[in-house]
Amino acid sequence: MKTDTRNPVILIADDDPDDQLLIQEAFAERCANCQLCFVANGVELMGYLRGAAPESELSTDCPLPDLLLLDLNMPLKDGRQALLEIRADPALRELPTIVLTTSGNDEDKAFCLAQGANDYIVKPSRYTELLTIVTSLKIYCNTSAMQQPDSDNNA
Amino acid sequence: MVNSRNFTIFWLCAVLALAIAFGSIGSGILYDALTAGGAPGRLSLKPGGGLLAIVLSIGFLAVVCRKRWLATGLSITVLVLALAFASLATLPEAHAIRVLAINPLLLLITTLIAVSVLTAIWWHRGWRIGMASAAVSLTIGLLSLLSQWYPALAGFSLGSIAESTVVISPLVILCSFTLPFLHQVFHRQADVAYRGLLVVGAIGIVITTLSWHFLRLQHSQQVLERAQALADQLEASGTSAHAVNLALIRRLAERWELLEGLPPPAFLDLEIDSYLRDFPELRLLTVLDPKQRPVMTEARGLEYRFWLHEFLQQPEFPDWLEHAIESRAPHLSRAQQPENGRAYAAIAMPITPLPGLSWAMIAVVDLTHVFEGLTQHLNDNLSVRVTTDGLTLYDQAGPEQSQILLLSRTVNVHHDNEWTLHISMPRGTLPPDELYLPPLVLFSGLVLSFLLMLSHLFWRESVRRSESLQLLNNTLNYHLDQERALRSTNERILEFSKDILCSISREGIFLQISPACEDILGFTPEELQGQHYDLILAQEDRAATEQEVRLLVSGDHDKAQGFRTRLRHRDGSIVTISWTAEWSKADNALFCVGRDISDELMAETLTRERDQFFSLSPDMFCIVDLNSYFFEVNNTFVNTLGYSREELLGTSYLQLIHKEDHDAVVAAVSSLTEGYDVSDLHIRAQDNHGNEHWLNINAILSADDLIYVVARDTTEQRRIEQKLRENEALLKMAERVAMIGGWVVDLETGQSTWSDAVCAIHDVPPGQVPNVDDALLYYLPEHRQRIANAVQTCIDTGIPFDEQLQIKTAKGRLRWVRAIGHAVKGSDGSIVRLQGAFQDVTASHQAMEQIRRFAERQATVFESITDAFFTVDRNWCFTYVNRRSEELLHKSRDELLGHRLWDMFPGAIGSEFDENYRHAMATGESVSFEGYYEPLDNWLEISAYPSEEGLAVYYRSIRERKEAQWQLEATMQELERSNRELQDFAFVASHDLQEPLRKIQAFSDRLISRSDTLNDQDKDYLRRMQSAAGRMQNLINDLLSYSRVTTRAEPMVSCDTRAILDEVMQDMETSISQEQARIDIGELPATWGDATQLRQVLQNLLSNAVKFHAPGQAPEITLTAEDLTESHWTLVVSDKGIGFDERYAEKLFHPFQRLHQKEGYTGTGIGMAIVKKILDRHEATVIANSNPGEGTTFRIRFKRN
Repeated sequence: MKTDTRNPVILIADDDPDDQLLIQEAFAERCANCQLCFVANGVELMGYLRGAAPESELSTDCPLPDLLLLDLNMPLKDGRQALLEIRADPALRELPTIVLTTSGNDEDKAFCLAQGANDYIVKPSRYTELLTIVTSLKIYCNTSAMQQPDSDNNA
Repeated sequence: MVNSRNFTIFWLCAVLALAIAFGSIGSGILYDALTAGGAPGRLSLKPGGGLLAIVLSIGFLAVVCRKRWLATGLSITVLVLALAFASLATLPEAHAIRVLAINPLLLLITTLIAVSVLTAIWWHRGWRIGMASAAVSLTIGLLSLLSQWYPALAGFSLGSIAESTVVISPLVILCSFTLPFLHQVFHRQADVAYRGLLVVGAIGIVITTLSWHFLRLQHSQQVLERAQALADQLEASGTSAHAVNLALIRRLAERWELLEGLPPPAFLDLEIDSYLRDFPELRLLTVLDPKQRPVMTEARGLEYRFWLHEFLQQPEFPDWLEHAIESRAPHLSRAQQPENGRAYAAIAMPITPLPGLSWAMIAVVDLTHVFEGLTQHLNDNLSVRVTTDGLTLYDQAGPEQSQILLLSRTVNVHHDNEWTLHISMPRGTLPPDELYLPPLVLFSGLVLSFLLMLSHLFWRESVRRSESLQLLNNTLNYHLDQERALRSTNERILEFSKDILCSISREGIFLQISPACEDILGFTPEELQGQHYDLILAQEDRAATEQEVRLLVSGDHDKAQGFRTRLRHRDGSIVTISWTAEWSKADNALFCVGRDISDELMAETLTRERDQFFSLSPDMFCIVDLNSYFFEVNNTFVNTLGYSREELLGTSYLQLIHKEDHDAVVAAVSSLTEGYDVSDLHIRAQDNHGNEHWLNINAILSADDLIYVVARDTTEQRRIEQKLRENEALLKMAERVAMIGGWVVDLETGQSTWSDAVCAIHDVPPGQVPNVDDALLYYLPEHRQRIANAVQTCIDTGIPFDEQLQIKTAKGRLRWVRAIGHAVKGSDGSIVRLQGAFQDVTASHQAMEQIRRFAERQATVFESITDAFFTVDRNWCFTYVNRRSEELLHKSRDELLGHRLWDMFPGAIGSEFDENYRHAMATGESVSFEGYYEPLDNWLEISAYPSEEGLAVYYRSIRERKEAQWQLEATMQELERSNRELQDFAFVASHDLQEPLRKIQAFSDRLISRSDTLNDQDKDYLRRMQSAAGRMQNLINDLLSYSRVTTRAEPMVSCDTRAILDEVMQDMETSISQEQARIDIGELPATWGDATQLRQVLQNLLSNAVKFHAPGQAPEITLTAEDLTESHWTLVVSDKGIGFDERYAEKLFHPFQRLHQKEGYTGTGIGMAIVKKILDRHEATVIANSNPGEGTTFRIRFKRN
């Protein structure tokens, strides 16, 4: 359940602690009011989305996110499988999901977009680029929240 | 009833049985009506029905007996009777003749039956009427029968009483079944109405009817008796009941009189109440005063008081009361019937409570109640009715019409009161059980009689049929015997006939053939049967035979006689058969008799030839008998000896023969008689001129004891021989030409004689004859001893010699000669001379030598070739095996030669070797194949060449090649796998390597952005780290794209080079315009390749050309096509850029090799390596020509398709 449109919840599925840290810092710098939740793999991600208590220490409760940032290469269950499950689940079908991954592979990109990812972003190597991406995500969050006023009901 | 005859018989029998049954039952009814007609209480059947039944019975009998007019008359009678009976119904009720009236439905059925009979007799489609009548009758009969159980159907009841209904209904049903078949019955062929059947049927049915009749009477009697008993019982009990009532009233009256005055009302009430209570039939008690007014009345109900009041008002009441008072005794009134249907009677009793006063007591009795009480325990089918003066006192039975009155009896109850008792039986309801028995007996009897008749009929029928069958059987047996005899005669003829007897179908197939064919043709009959005659017919006779057969079959020729064909015997010889043949339409076969006339033919030919020979032969022939007389002579004989034929015949031949030869002739004749032939007997004979002729005689003795003699006049021959000798010179010439000559050595004189040819061979002049020793000197020394020995042996022992030797001629020439010699013995048996032939065989010897050398050389070749080789003959026996073959087959030549291939190598049977060899042998086509022969564990490559002699097989072991091939395949697979792994590795590695680099960059960015704590040098170091990490990232990306050349390869197609180039230029638009590059493009043909990769190539080349230019000088680039051929073309890309030293041209195409400084020109140096790799994949060559400062030209040779 969405808490407040002005306080978007962003769920980040990434197993790399470095990336988690960088993303957290980037959000803190550009989008401080966003509530970030982290999960480290596909299993935890699906657990979180389906209401189970997340094991990650970075989040204390589990509100349904306004945006999911999904890494593809994760242990246990990778992002591709997770994406398929999310799009197959009627309750999660509408969840805005942006793939944020190191893989610049065209095949991965084509696959994710075909399976319903809202966007596909290759992890930048420069922090400034990451800041740009976070800014645009923030904008994306706000616009998508406005465009989907009924997402409460869908959730 | 499948058999229509049996069917008819069945119905005939049924009609007959029905006729008899009708007659019998009708008679019974009539008898009953006449003897006991009208007897009261008697259950009787109506005589009208009986009369009709009898007439119908006779009618049916007439039908069965085929009495047309009788049946017609009777049917009309029935119709008239039915009409008459119908009109009876209009007569008044009481008319005596009405007893004949019968049920109208029954009349209808009778009419229908009569009409059916009439139509069956007179109209061939009568069965339709019969069918309709049957349907109506059957329906009515069934309804009538059912009416016994279902009163609603009572209207259909055919009988006036139940008893008659249960008899008539089944009869009608049975009768209705026969109606449709009356036509068939009348027109039947079977003789059925014979006396036996009629008697059997009549007896059976009459007995049945009698039984029925008596049973019926008996049961009827029983019912009557029961009714009688019931009436007695009722009379007794009724009378006593009244007596009791009267006595009761009297006693009451007497008690009251004793009281001398009426009792007090309370007591009276009690008294009367108690009476009413104790005697249920009492309804009311009252006391009348002398003025006849009721003073005291007690009743069971109000209606009885009303009734009493009415009763008192009746005019006859005072008289009746008066009478009762006067008689001083209880008096019963007439029965009264008020509206409730019950009957009451009053009892009056005078009482005189006070003298002089005539009071009366009246009691009302319910008579109905009395009878109810009496009859309530009677549980019988009988019912009771009691009447008096037209009043019904009690009625147990219901309406009178539905009852059959059994008995009426009048009972005197009281002095002037008479009642009548009626005992009856209900009509239409179920009759008493005993009444079922007679009809059951009747119908079971009828059925049994019918079955008896039927079985009698069938028995008779079967007897008749078996008799006729017996007759038929006898006839058949007779004919069969006849046929068997005929057949056996036929077979014997077939068996023993020397001629071929056969039948042939229209198509020429042997249907049957006698065993003689085995003797004549060598084929058994079984082999020929079913075969076409072409099988044995000689080719040249087929057309004629076919023609003849066609004519015979079509009937154009009645019979073929002496038609000759030549047939092939099984052993291939030709047999001539003379045929007599005739076409049988009935059997649809050609019957042929063939006689083997081969021998006759031969004899005929021989005779003819002999006669011709005999007369025309240049030899002298004569036939003489054993008595030395001439039997026959030929012309030559006559001509030679000059005697006429007439002179010779009948004379002894001995007269002609020289006396010195007589003994020889006699000896010859005796040797002939002993069985020896005579040949080459030389005798002399005289002709009519006395000249002597030498005759050479050959003679044989024939079977007819004639001697056949052939004599040749050799006189002339001797003369010719003389002449021949004279012509010896000519012969010598011939000898010379053939290089063959003769020689003679006279041992006595030691003188040799050589023919000219012999001289010529020795190169000495003709006529020069050396002695033996000199002659031997011509032979080469190494041969000389051999010929000397041979000659000596021949001289000593007479053993001939035949030697091929070499001589050196007089002229020094070497010659191969063949010397043949044999000894000639003189008259004393000693060897007198040697003679022989001498031939120059140099040429043939040389040819032989050549053949031998050739064979040797061939053997050497076969032995020395590395291929293994063997030959087999057509029986698969090894005829030649070379050395290599021995090695490969692990068997020596000696083991193999002469043995069958399949015996020596059984493992090959059924394998591809077997298949291929046999194919080659069978078709004559050579085969080549590879095969694995398991027993030898060897792969072989084999070529087999068939020939007349058999099969020549070349083969070699290809095990090494096979192994190398397998090895290669394995290596290739391994290579492919490692390639794949390498690609995977490159991809994964480059991907995973990038990850840490990215982190380094990102975190150093973070570090730099928090620059408060860092000095400039620190920041510089960090930037250098970042730069290095970025370069490494580029390197990795380049490596990735390098590896993708093979991993992302697309299939080759024909690509539009110009279009690809345009796309590339579009992508590079920015850099091109930035550098102000000028690009000229000529005509470019299509290229065979992977469009994406071609684009990469052009992209790299162009971007290099644009990139590497001297500062301040705009790039000028040209792309043109060169050397266009059908299959290839060359793309030339040249620029006027900075160029490079050609010495490093090779390095250009290696990954990460840069020819220029990093500063000023970006790039990692992978581009050209990718170009090279892509071009390698496209099988295109690239040459780079360049000079520093003068620009670079790349020449790429592409495939066009």
